[in-house]
Amino acid sequence: MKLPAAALLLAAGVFAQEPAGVIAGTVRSALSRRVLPSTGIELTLNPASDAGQRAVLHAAADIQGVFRFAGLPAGEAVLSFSKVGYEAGGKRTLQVAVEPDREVNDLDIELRPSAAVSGKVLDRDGDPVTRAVAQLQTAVLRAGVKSLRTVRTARTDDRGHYRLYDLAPGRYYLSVSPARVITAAGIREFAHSWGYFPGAPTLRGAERIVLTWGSERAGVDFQLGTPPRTAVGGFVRNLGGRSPCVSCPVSIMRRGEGQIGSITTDETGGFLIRGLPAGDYVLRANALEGPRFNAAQRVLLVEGEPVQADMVLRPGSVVRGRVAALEYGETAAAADRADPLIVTLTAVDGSRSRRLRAMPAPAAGGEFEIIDVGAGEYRVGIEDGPRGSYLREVSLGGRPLPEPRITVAAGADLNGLRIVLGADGATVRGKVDGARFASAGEAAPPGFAVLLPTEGIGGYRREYLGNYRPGDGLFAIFAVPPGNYHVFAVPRDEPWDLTDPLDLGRLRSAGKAIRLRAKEEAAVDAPYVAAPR
Amino acid sequence: MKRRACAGRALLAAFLLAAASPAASVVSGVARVVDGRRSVPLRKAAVVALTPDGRKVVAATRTDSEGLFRFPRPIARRIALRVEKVGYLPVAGARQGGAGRILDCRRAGACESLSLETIRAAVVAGTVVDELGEPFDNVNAALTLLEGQASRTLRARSDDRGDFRIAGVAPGRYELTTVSSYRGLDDSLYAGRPVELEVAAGEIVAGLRIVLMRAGGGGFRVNGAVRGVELSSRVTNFVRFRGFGSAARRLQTGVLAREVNADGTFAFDKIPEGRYVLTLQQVRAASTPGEQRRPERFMLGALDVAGDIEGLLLAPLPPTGIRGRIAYREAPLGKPVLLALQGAGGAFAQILVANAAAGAFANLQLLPDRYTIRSFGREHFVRAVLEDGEPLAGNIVDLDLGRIRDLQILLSRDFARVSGRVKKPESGAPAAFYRVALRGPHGVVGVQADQYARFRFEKVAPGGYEICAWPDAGLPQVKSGGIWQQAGGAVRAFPVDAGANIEISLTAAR
Repeated sequence: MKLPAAALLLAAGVFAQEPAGVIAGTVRSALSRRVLPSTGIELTLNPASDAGQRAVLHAAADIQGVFRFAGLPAGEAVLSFSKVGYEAGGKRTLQVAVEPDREVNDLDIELRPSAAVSGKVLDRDGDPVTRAVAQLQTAVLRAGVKSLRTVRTARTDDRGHYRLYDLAPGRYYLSVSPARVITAAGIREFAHSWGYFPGAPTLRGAERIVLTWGSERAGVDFQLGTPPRTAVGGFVRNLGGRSPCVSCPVSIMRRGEGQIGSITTDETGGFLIRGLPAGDYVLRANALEGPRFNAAQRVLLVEGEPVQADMVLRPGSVVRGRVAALEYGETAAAADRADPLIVTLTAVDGSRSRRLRAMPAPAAGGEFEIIDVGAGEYRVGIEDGPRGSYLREVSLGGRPLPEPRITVAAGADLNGLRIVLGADGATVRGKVDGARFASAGEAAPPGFAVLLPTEGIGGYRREYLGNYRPGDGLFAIFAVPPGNYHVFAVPRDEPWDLTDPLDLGRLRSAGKAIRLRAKEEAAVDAPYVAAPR
Repeated sequence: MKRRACAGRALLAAFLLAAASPAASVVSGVARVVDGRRSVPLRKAAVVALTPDGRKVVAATRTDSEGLFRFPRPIARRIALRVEKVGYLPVAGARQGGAGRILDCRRAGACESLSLETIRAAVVAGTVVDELGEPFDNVNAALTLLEGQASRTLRARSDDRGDFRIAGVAPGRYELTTVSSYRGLDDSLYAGRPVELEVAAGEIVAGLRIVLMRAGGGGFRVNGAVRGVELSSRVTNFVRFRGFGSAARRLQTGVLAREVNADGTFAFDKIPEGRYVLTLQQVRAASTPGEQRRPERFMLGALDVAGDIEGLLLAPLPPTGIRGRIAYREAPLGKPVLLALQGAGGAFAQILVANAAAGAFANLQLLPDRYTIRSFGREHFVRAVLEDGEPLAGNIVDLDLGRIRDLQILLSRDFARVSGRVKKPESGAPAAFYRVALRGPHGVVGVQADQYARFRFEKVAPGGYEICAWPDAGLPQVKSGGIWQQAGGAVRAFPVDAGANIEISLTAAR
C-alpha cells in the first residue's frame, strides 16, 4: 500500500491538551538491511480503550526509510508496518509505550521479504502455453484430516510466463492446469496434460517446494505433454429425470485434492470433459437456481476408456440424530446452558469446503436435523459445545463408528446418528517459552500453541490448537480429551507442516510431553520451535 | 460405475447428418502470418467455425506445422470462420472475439483452399512505481484505442515488482492509463499521467516506466462557492464533476463529488486535466422517520480543467432542455427507448423513456448546445423531430440557456437495406472477401463480402452515407477516416431513405 511520504496526523484534535511524545525510526529489509521507502505505517493509540480514547494515525516511510510520529499523548501505541513484497502481504506489529516528553527516535524495524515462485510453461515443442493456471497449494491439517488449501494462483501470459508472489515461508505443491480450447468436436477440452512440480501428472509423485523468507524461486518451468486419453461425459437431468438440466455447473473433484475445475452443461444437459489425468474423481452437479437439488457420482478415469456419468438431480438427503443428553448433564456449565451447540458435517470426498450445520438445543433433547446433504462422505464434528466437552463417540443405529465419518447415499435420508460428547475435557493454559518473547517490546509473529496426540493422529485423535498472544505469548486451549500429548508453539507463517510425518516427529521430539487427566486445569509452558531451514 | 463410449450419440448423429447432406463443403485452407510483404505459415492455431452470428461453435480444428487446416467433416451451412492464436490477430477487422469471415458452405467446394491471414499482435509492457521509485502493485493498466469504439480497452494489473504486460494489442493509436486499484490511507487514488502510444503490428513496447502520484498531485485544485441554492441543516448539497473521454477514465468511477460546506464553499484537490459537466445534487432530510427522498439534481455548467482554479462561482442554471412525447410509425415494441442527444459543442445526454407506450419524456437539465437527437440501439431510428407539427431539419434542436422546447419525436423501424457486389478495380472481376465499410450519421459499420463478392447491410437508418471497399489485408483505420482518404475516388456517396432497398455495384479501392 502506498501512502503520502510525510506523516499524516488524522486525529490531531485528540491530543490537543496532552504532553507531546515522539515515535520515530527506520524500516529496513530483514535480509539485505536496505531501507524500505514507502512502507505504510499505522499507529493505533490506546487500542484497548473505548472509541473516545483510541485514535489511528497513518504515515509512510520516506526515501531513507524513516518515519516519525510526533505530538503523541501518553499511553500504549501499536505500530503496524506493511509493504508490498514483504511480510507475505501481511503486517509486522510492534507495541510501544508512549511517555510524556519522551522521544523514541531509534526504532529499527525489520520487515521480512516475501517469497516468490516464477517460471514458464511450455508445450512439448517448446512453444509457450498461454492462459494456463499455476496454482500453489499447501497441505493443512484440520481436526486430524489432511486437505489442500490454495494459497495463490496466476495465469501464464502470452510468453507462457507465470509469477506467484507475496508468499509466506512454507512447503507448497505447485501445479499447472492448462486452459481448455475448442477442438475438432466443437467442444472445449484440454490441449495439454496437467503437471505437478516436478512433472508428475497428479499429486502422487509431486514434490514440495520449500520457501523461506526472501526465497525467489525463478525458473520453475513446466513442459506439458499431450493430454491423457481420458474422457468423462454424460447428461444431467432435473428432478424426475425428464427435463435436461441446462447450464448447470458440474464440479470436478479429485480425491485428496478438492475441486480442480468445473464445466457447465449445454442445452441438452450434456457435458464432456476430456484430457483429465487418470485417477479417482467425484463429479457433483447442482441446479442452477431454485431448490438446492444436486447429484454426485464417483468415477475412475483410465486412459482409453471413456466413462459415461449420467446424473439426475435429487433433493438433498436429511441427516437426523441426537446429541447425547446424558453427557450434557455431567458439567454444571452445560446444565445452565440454553444455547444450542453446532453439529457439523464436512465433506471429505474432495468437496471439502461443503459444510453443513445444525444446532440442536439441549432443552429439546439434543435432537438435530441437517437438510440438503448431497451424497458423499462426511466428517462429523461439533463446535461451540459446553465448556470442557469434546467429541467422544459417534454411533449409527446403535453401533459405534471407528471414526467420526458417515456416508450419505444419494436420495436416502440417514437417521439414528448419535453423538456422544465427553464432558471431562481438560484446559491447558500457559505461555510460549522462547527467545522471541524475551526482547522487550517486540511482538512475536502470530502463531499457535499445539497439543498433538503422542501416538498417531486421525479419527477421534486430533490436534488441538490455541492462538497465542503476539505481545506476551499467553495461550489457552479448552476441551482437550484426557490423554498423552506433546505441547509446543509454532508461528503460523513458518514452514512447519503438521501433515508431514517427518515434521510431526521433529515437533514431538522438540515439544514437551504431558499427560492430561479428566477435567484437569493444566499450566504448561510450550517450547517455541524454530522453523526448519 | 458405468463405462461406455461417451457422447457417441451426438457425434454419430452429427456424422450422419453431415454425410447425408447433399450440399456440403469440406472446409480447408491455410492460415498465414502476414509480415510486410512476407507471409509465413501460422502453425498450431485454432480454426473455429461458428454460426454467422458468432454465438455458437459449429466445428473446430488446428493448423499443422505448415499452417494447413482441414475440418474432419464437411459443413453444409453458412459459417463465420475465425483463426485464433494468442499473440496473433486476424487481418481485416475481425479481431479476437469478432465473428470472423462469413462463408456459405452449402455448395460443394465453396469453402476449400481458403487463405486466412493474421498479423502479429503487439505487446505493451512496463513498470509502475510510486514517487519514491518503489514498485506499485495491483495497478490497473488500461490501453484504450483512441480511434474507434471507446469500449475497446485491454487491461492488465501490475505485480509485486510493479510490472505489467498487455498482450494481444492490435496496431493503432492508444492511450495508456494507470490507476491504483485501492485508495491510500488519505482516501486518495493514485494515477499515472496518461501516455499516448502508436503501436505497430508485432511491436513490443517494453520498458515503460510510469510514476503514480496521488490524484491530487497528478490533478488540479478546483475550489469556489455555490450560490442560489438552499444552504441549511435540512439539505445536504454535493458538487459533482462528471468527466468526458479520457477525463472520465482517469477518474476511474467517472464522477467525483464533494459536499458543499455550510457557507456554500467547496474544494476539490485532485481533478485530472479534462472536460467536465458540473451538477449540484441536493439531498433533503426526511421529514418523517423512514421517509425516502430522491435527490434533486441541478445543472451548474461545463468546465475545462487545465490548471488550478480558485474562486469558481457556480449557480444552478435555469431549466434548459426538451420535453414532449415519442410517437411510433409502427406498433410500439413495448421496450424502453433510449434517446441520445449529441451536442455539437461536446455536450452529451441520454433520455430513457422507460414507459415507452406512454411515450412522455423530459430532460430540463441540459447544457446549452446544438443537439442531434437519435435513438440508441438498432430497434428504432428517429424518423423525425417535430416542433409545433413542423419537422426540424436533420433532427437538430438548438438549446439556448433557459429555453425549454416541446417536441414530438417520431420513431420508426422502417429501416433501409443496402446490398450489392464488389468488383476488383483492375479487371472488374468479382472481389471475393473484400471488406466493405458504410459511413453515415450513426458512425461506421463494416462487413466482409462473401466468396461471391456479395455484401449486405441490414437495418440502415435514413440519412446520407458513404461506402467503399478494399482488399482483405491490413488493418485500415476505418473509424479515423484513413481508409476514406486512401480509397479516394472509390468512395461512393448516396442518400438512404426509410424503407429503401438499395443495390450498389461497388468498385473496390486499389
